[in-house]
This record gives sequence, C-alpha cells and structure tokens, in this order.
Amino acid sequence: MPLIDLAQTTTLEQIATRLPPFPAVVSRLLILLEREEVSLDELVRLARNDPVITGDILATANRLRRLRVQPDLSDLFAAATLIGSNQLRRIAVAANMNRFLACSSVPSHFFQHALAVAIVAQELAMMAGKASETAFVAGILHDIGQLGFYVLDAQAYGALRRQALAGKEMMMLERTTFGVDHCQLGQALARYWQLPEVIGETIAAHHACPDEWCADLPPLINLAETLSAALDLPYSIYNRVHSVSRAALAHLQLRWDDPEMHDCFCRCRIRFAHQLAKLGQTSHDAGGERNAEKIGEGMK
Amino acid sequence: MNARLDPETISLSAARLWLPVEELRPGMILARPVSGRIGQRLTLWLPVGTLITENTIAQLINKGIECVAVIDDDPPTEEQYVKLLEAAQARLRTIFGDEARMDNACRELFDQLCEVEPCR
Repeated sequence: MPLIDLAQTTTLEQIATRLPPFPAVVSRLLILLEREEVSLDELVRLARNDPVITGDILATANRLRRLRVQPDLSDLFAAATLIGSNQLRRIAVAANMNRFLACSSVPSHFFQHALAVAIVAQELAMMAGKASETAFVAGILHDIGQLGFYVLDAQAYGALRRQALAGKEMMMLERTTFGVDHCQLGQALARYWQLPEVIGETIAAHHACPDEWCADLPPLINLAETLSAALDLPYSIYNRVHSVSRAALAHLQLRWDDPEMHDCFCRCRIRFAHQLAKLGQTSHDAGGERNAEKIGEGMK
Repeated sequence: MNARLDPETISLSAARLWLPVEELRPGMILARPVSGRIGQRLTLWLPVGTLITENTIAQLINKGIECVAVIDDDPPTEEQYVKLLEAAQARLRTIFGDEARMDNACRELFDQLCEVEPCR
C-alpha cells in the first residue's frame, strides 16, 4: 500500500471521487451561516434548487397545517414563512448531510458514529451559545479521513481498526499504514471540497489535548465525541471513556452539573434514535464492523 | 432503592417521557422547561406544566426545537424504573471502567450520567 502524499492533488482526487459527492448547497450555506442573521429570502433561494430540502420544508410545514386541519401548502416561500428561519437552517443542513452519509458506499458504523457526534455537537453548541448548524456539519465530517482510508483500501483499514479496538493507538497505526492520520486526511479533503477553513481546522484538531483551546469548534467536537461514547451512541461493545477534556469544558463554559445538562443528554439520545428510525436503521453494534469490510471489498 | 436518587426524584424522572416534536399532540403537558436560543439570545421559554397546543407545536418547530419532555400518562412503576436505572448504571460502569481508577474529569461526567433517566 503506497503512502498517501497530501501534497499531490491527484491523490486527493482519487479519494474524493470514491466518496459520496459533497453537497454543494451545504458549502454555500456554511458561508451564509457565518452571519448570525440570515434572511428567510436567502435561505429559500438556496433551498429552491434542492429537491431534498424543498421536500423536507414542505413536509414540516404541512405537518403543522394538518394539526390545524388546514390544506397542504405547495408554495415553498409560504411553507418557509410558516416554519421560520431557524427550522429552515436546520433542515437545509441536516437533509443534505444525512443524504451524504446515507449513501450506500458509507459503512453503517461510520454513518451512525458521525450522526451521533453531529447531534451531540449541535446540542452542546446550543448549550454554549455557539453556531449549532456549523457544529452539526463539523460533527458529520470529523472522521471523514477514516472514510477516505476505507475507500482507498478497505482491507488494510479494517485490519487497522481491529488492532485499534484491541487497544493499539489508532492514529499511530494510520500513520504507519497510510503515511498520514485521519485528522490530516480529513483536513485535506475539507480543503479539496472548498469548505470554510474552520471546518478543516476542526477536523485536524479534534483529537488534540491542549491545555487551552483557541477556537470554539474543535473543543466542541472533542467533547461531542467523548459524550457520544458516554451516552452509548451508537451502541457498541467497544464504547469507552478514558478521559474528558477539562480545557474544552472551560473554553466553552460548560459544566456537566448544569441543571440543563441532563435535558441535553436526553435530547441527544432521543434525537439520535429518532433520526435512525426515520432512516430505517437501529443503533449499530460492533458486528457491523465486520460487515463494513465486506462492503469495502464489494466497492473495488 | 437506588442509592443515588431520592424517592421524589425517582418519581419525577419516571413520569417524564422524551419525545421528538413530530410526535407531540395537543393536550400533552411539558415535564421539563423548553428554551430556544440564537447564540446567547433567548428566543423562547416554555415552563414546566405548559399545555401543548397546535400553536405551541408551531412555536417549537419555528424555533428549531427537536424534542421535549412531556408528562407520561402511563409511567413505569417505581420498581420497574429503578431496574431500568440500575441497568443503565451498570452499562455506564462498563463504558467508564473501574470507578476507583477514574480521574476526576471522568468521574464528574459519570456521576451526572448515573442520575439521568434511562431512554424508554
């Protein structure tokens, strides 16, 4: 297995073309969301060309209409006005990121872990008063580098994961096998997809253990990954928590004993279960790890 | 009896059911307060005991609230609830490992999770 050279664009192209296509509408949305106040008009214009977002907006609005025994709406702007810009932003991000993840080439264990971290990151972001949709996207993408390894050589990556589950250090194994670790590859993929720099920086730093964090998103994802394991999302016999970053908690001014934190834990669990149910899945167990290798072999 | 929680807390927790907003129906009653925020700005506050109506559901959707706790019309008995809680705590001990070896940062999270009502 030749080592990956991230300086070579052809290498990234090789990997990116084997991954699900990244939804361009999310890239545009992330730029819009850098502004706290985004008008309904701008969001509707973005949504109009995307049938998935349009469908979800109409479905959400019509659910409300039926509660009031009113006829269904077919006009997108009217539907968007009814559900409001907050919900619109969530739908735009979630619909496309779930579609990106739910692509058949993505192993289910990867999908469920990414979804869990995304939901937990979003909930923690709301507790901390930070940008929650950006946290969701960063959560979905935080381990995209692992998916990159997987599409490149599923057998090698499967063997590496088995060693990591047996206790060996994952990123060291990745560097030995592929020449880079999943954080480095993930950052390179984020740049290739022309995502905001903050997403790439977060992917690169989410396993870091600094005494102090400088930005908001990396500690959010760091804590989200820890908390999703602690909440057993998704279920896995391998879920373990060995450390919790006090520096991340301090940076975000979060406390586990905050009276609202118990509610946050419950929301994470229910949202994850509900999302899986909508997609026709149940919480994955470690048996899926072995199936994932077979899927990878079928892709070659 | 679970050593970590008093009977009143067990009774309150057992009577709560967390639901996605899509499954809410008018007539349900909020069992936990709901707050909506944009950044640090509070945009919605619904206290415990709020009766859910079509307008409430519309408000929740509008503010991007994904799920809430309502009063459960058919809660588990105290005995059933304590069993669920003990199973959840046993699972947490597997995830976090030996309590005697836990560092303080893990211990703080472990302790809080032990008190959270298990999913039903």
